[in-house]
Amino acid sequence: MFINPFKKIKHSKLDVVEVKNLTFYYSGSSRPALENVNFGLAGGSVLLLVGVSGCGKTTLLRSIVGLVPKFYAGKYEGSVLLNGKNINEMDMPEISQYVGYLFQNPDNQLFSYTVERDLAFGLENLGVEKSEAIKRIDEIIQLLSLDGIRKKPIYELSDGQKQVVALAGILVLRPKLLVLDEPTSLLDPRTALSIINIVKMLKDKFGISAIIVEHRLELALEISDYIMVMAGGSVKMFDSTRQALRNRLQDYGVAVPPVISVQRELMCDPLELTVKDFVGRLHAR
Amino acid sequence: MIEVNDIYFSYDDYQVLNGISFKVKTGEVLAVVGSNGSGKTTLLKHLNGILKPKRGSVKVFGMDTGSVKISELSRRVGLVMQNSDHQLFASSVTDEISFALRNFGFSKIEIDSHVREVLDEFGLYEFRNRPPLSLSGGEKKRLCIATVMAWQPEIVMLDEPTVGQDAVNKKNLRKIINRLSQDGKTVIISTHDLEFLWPINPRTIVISHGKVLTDGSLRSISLNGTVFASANLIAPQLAALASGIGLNEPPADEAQAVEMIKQWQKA
Repeated sequence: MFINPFKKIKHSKLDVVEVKNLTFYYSGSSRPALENVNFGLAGGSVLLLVGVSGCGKTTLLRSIVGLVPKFYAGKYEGSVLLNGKNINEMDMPEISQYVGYLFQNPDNQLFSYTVERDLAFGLENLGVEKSEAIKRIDEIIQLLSLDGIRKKPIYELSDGQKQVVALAGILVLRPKLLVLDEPTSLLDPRTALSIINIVKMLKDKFGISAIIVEHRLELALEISDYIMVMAGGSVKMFDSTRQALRNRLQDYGVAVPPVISVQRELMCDPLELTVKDFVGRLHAR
Repeated sequence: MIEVNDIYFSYDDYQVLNGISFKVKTGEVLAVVGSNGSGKTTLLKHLNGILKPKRGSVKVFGMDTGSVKISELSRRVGLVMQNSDHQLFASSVTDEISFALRNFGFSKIEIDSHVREVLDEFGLYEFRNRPPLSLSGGEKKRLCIATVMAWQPEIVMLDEPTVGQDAVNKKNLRKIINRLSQDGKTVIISTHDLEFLWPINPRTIVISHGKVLTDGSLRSISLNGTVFASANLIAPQLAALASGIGLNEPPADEAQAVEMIKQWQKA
């Protein structure tokens, strides 16, 4: 039996996250890590964030989850609004129930002995009642098919399983927005795709929004509504996925997947995002 | 130069290598591809003697790794680890590069000249006094390769070199691999990033569950429509495109793919 763990989120007209004129210098640095960043993301959409290493992607994600400026001190100007509320007026427990942050390496995020214990950790910290906590853990275990590894020690899991468990540990807090910082970079493409597909399922079924950083664009294009390109701490481009792929992303050090380059050369319109769809179109002609 | 003969290896009860055999010639670029947990890293660790097979044998430069000292082998077989943070520990970039040279007993003059050489070659001169862990991901990866290249091993092994690297760094890595190959080094790359390998088109061994599924140039093995799926990998896009429209030969790059599709449409 499938248990629906979240009601489909009813998004307000406000953006799930809005960043306004955000500039940030890490303490001791004379170069801004973020420079006048402005963008908003409508509820229920997925944003693919790209740019070369060091362009400010991770700092921006840290700002969206409040780690900047609450844990990383520095010169901070501008604002980050979560559903219209300024993040500086929210404490970490409140933020963590609105936005979940998945790290690149699950070993930095998992620290309990078993899967079940790890899923309980965040809920215990928020003071969620035991019966409610158990209910939420059961729901997520069912949703992500983690029954088989529920009692397993974390160290026995594969890298892909660890990343799913780390994601589950966030989902028990029922966030409206997921922030995923290169969540698949340690994983082989097929395992990576299984994580990406979970993000898609969460969006389609429950309206959960996501901002995802992924260097292998071919894995994430299909689930992305928008692409935002950053360079040198500022936003260079924010566009719908297909429109963005028509631009010169390579000027910002971003590799366009081969199937997209080929279609651009052949003047295809609209662009198909996967090889399968492109092959289908070629045969249809 | 390298002869791997039917090797088996397990960590306690967990069987990782299940009868692997292949040979590598001097100057070859070899890619070992497979999904997470397929045995790639374990296999690489057999080639510099860190691990010894439970059954079968590995010979490098004609020496059996079971009987030769690791210090002797590691001087000639360099391993660049997947996670740069596991490899870097010195307080400055210069110290990091000179550390192994001191251990291998190079003279002061040799150390200075080798360090200077790789600092220039890998674009690290401006960072020479910086702590390695303060560098960016791409810079750290270049430093890890530079530290290994400083003692000029004949075989260079790169374990998952593209993990966490952006497109610019990946392009640099391809250039480095090409240069090593032109310099006559034998290069062994373990990876699951087939898109990265496609333009290099190296000899490729696909492994799955500790066994070799196939062995040949990347483009030639991609003609077998099921090999990547059997290894739990995803076929490179240009290979999938070629097989999707029934081409006999996969394109080497996007430009060739465009021409081939135009021809196919005319036909």
